[in-house]
Amino acid sequence: MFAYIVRRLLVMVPVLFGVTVVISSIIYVAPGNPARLALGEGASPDAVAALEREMGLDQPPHVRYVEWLTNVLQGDLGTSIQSGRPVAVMIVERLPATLELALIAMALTLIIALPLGVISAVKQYSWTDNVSMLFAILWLSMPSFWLGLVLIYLFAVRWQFFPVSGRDGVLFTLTWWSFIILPAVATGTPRAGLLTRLMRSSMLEILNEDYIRTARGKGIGERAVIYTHAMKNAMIPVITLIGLQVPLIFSGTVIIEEVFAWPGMGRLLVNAVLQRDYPVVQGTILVYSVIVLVSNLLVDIAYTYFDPRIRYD
Amino acid sequence: MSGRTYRLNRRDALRLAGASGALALAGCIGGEDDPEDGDDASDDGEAPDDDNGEVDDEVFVEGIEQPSTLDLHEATRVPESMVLNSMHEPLFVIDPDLEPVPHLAEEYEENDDATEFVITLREGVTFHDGADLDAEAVVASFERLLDISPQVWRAGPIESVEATEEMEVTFSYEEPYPLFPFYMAHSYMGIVSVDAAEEAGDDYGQEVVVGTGPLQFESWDRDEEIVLTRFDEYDWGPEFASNQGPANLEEFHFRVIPEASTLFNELTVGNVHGTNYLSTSDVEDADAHENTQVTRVEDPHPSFLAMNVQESPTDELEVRQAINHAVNKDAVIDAGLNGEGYPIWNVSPPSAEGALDEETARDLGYEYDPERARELLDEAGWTNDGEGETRERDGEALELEFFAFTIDRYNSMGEVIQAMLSEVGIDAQLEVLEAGTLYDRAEGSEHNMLTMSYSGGYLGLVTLEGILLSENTAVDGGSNYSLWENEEFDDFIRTAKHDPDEETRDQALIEAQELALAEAPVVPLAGYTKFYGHKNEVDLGTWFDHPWWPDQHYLHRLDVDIN
Repeated sequence: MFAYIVRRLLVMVPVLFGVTVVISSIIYVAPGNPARLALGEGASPDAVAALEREMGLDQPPHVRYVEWLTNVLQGDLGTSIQSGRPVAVMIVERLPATLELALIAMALTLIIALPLGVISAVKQYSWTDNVSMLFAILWLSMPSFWLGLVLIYLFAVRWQFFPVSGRDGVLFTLTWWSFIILPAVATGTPRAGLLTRLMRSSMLEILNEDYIRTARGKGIGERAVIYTHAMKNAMIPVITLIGLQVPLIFSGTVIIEEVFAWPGMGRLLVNAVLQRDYPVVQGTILVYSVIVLVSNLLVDIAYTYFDPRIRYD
Repeated sequence: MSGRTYRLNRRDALRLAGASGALALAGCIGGEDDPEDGDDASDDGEAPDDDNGEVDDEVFVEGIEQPSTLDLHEATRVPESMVLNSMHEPLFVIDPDLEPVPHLAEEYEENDDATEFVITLREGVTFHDGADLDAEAVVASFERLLDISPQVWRAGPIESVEATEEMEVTFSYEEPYPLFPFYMAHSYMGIVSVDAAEEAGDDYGQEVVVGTGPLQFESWDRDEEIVLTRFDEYDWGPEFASNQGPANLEEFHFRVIPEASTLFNELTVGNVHGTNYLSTSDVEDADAHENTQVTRVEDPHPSFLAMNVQESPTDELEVRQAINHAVNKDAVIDAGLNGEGYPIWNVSPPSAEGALDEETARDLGYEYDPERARELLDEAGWTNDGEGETRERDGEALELEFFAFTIDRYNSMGEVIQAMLSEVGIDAQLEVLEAGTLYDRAEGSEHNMLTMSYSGGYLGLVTLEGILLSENTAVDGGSNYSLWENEEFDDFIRTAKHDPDEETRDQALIEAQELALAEAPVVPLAGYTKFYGHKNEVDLGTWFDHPWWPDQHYLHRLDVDIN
């Protein structure tokens, strides 16, 4: 296992290199002058030219990329064009907020989807199954930003159970929960729709297997049959999907952070793209890529817990 | 590890997940009840001030966009100046009669040809860090501004700034700069503590900000909020303010809320007291809401169409004049600004200092008259067989490359203008472009026409030179997107800016505007209505009494109170 993890970590290096090449190519080719955007309307041509020189924008793209990559390998993600602050510091300031939101959204996704999928499968074609599937399809169909606006209207404006936006409070305290719950629901439930449906179909397939019939024939209790024998095996494809959901959850936070004024990396990225703040865009996407790759590795490791036949030795 | 151990771990993991779920659910339920019963304080040890629209009476929360820097000498954007102008003050301020009056300056003298200004500083002014404001401090601030600020052009053709007495500063100019007090009244000309800036190094403008204004820097949580606190020593507010200092409220929290509907909800039922970042589509609802009201003012901030005079067919005067006649400004305002604007016939709106009055501008400008537009195009040889058909000349269709920003108001303006132009036989091919792309393509002269606005402030001269001066053409990185280069106009502007005689200056500015109207490099569309949405319990003092209150935020923070 250890050797496998080391191998996977090494494979990440060329993947991350590829990501930086692609992202850098896109942003250098994209039109827009960060010096012009930084100085705003009314700036003189001389001021724009001077800032371009200061930012190194007069250098060819490949020179700028190599310089950036060299600095990254030395642990320096560069300096923001717009604010003049170290990119690493800007990311570290916002990373906890994004991780909080993504992890709570993921937890909500699992808490909703797994029980619902199992119940739907066990009580196939019952009203519980029909209602669950209806909700699953609704969640799947709703864009997260729209769901976010609806949640704000209902729970913050109309009933005023939660604050409208922002982030406050110490981790896991009631104040903290009151701020994070709406953005987490808006991020997580669209993912839960897909997961619920997959959990249901996976469970249905397993419940029709011979060994399940055998287990029931041996007199094992229904609860044990479902949770010990069926659910564990049904989890394998679900775990795969959970792995695929991780990047979607993080990309979802980009929009949700805007809607809920949540001070995370998503907003940093959006602003950086609009302002052509190249070092911030490159640094942020690099961190997102690392998070996704590590998440995928963790999912692969999780297979071995749910199915001991899977070995990476 | 053995298989048994695996099974135990999996079971434990599932139990843990279940327990977390229960905790999460408990948290959700608790979160619902909690703001109602005010239990937060016991939970976090924090005052229950942020959760449910109930806020401390001594804290004013304002919704803003995210600034990039709080170093006055590096700032360029409105979100930055909105926060900065409560912490820094210039030598002059504009009074309600729209005249520049000394502020950090006690008095001033200028020589006959307006090339030298001797400023006597106000006694007893201190920076937030306790240092006295004296001539050396002012000179150091201006030297730093001249060295690094993108706003340096406002300081004019400065030759030297010297501390000639302990409390006396002398500004010398290479050529006459008679509008010195006006330009010096701009918030970007505020005085920064250079000692503090040098001591803080790269942290200045991020973790440290020191000026002399009524509020002082406390903290900045990126993408969350900036907190400023009352500067208790402050007692040198302008006489025309209801409060000369210190500020009525203890703290000001500038919350960064990027999404328009979220900001609207925070203002109406949340914890934001006031904002001038409401979307135009939300203004009417905010005004009608039981918790809030909106105050408006016609601001001299024009939106217009810049027509590229160097590319065919907008290089033809008749075509530009026809486009001017074809555009119905009222319909554009309804579509783009939800009616929150006013029509303008001159690119410098009448409320700007030195601008043509409305009657003259309408007389010299172009009224909505599609029939006249058709006649002009016929005279220029652009003809069609029937209404609605694209005109042609020598087999060439009358087509325009028309760019609009993705921002809703520009996008909507673009769509209605496209339809108006098609009615007179012009095929405007509208491309809605994100800002960076639009600027880039415009600087490459790829456009015939684009939607634009310019916040030149209260001086008509600044707007005119920004939009139309030869040395500011977009291909050179400036903001003249018409790429209009007219020596006569440039001479008028130079005279209006530098001639020591006021009458000559005023006349030159009028002639510059008349020339621009005759040559029609732009289509003036609308002046923006600036609005400020605020909760009913907010008392805004005399801020609204100032005709240019949108630009006088320091007055706001000095005067404002919560009833």
